[in-house]
Amino acid sequence: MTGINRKAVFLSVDGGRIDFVSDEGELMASVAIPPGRVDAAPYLDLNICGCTPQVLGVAVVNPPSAYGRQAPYPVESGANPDFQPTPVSALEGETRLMLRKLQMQSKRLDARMAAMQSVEHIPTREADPVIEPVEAVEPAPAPVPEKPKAVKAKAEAPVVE
Amino acid sequence: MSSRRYIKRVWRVPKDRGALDYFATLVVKALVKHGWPARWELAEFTDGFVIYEQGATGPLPSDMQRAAEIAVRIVARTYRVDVTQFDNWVGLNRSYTVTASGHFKEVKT
Repeated sequence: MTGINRKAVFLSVDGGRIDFVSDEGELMASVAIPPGRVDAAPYLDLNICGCTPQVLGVAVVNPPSAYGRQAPYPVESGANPDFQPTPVSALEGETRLMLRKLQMQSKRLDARMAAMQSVEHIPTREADPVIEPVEAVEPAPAPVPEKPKAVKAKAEAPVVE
Repeated sequence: MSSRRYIKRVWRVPKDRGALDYFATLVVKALVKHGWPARWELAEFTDGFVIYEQGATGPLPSDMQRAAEIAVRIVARTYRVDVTQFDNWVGLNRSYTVTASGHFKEVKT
């Protein structure tokens, strides 16, 4: 019998044996169990390496705490047993934490700003307007006297012809 | 380019010249710290003073008037002084003395 709880009790009238069987099926040791009520822990403590204890001739009474406990992987689920969280998910967690911190900070700042707004304060005067130096306008009338000359020349041309 | 040197002046608020001077200097200091070219003059025969613009007399521009009103209100509330203000004239309603620690103390008669 495998899976004997350490707090289990061996009960028998005539006594029995506990066999330690290796994975290959070889009987490594066989230890006698005296009759009556015997604690299982010292027998399990023999711990002959890589062996499975098998009990013969005695009843194994497990403690109440041994019942109702789930064995590992009792259900065939579709979950990948080799799943390892990727570094991306760790990064995502960090990012979410940072975002939450930022939100908390912004909330605090907003509250402070609202408190500041509720208090009357002296308005700050705007700085004096900077007077930009006016750029010297290029003399526009300069080309004006040229045009009438051209017009005059054109006008004169037919007269010459 | 106009000079704004008055902003960088080191302000010493006189505690030995009476409550009105003290209050007026506090108000003008607060205004100047916020960039308003303010100065004050004693209003004769009234227990008060008048806030003027630097190098000018007469009523203040509207935005500066608003700032002056707020400054007077803040200083009065901070120092728990009972004041009256009418346009750019500000007066103390009660008689005060200035303590060495810079607080207004009402003179009980």
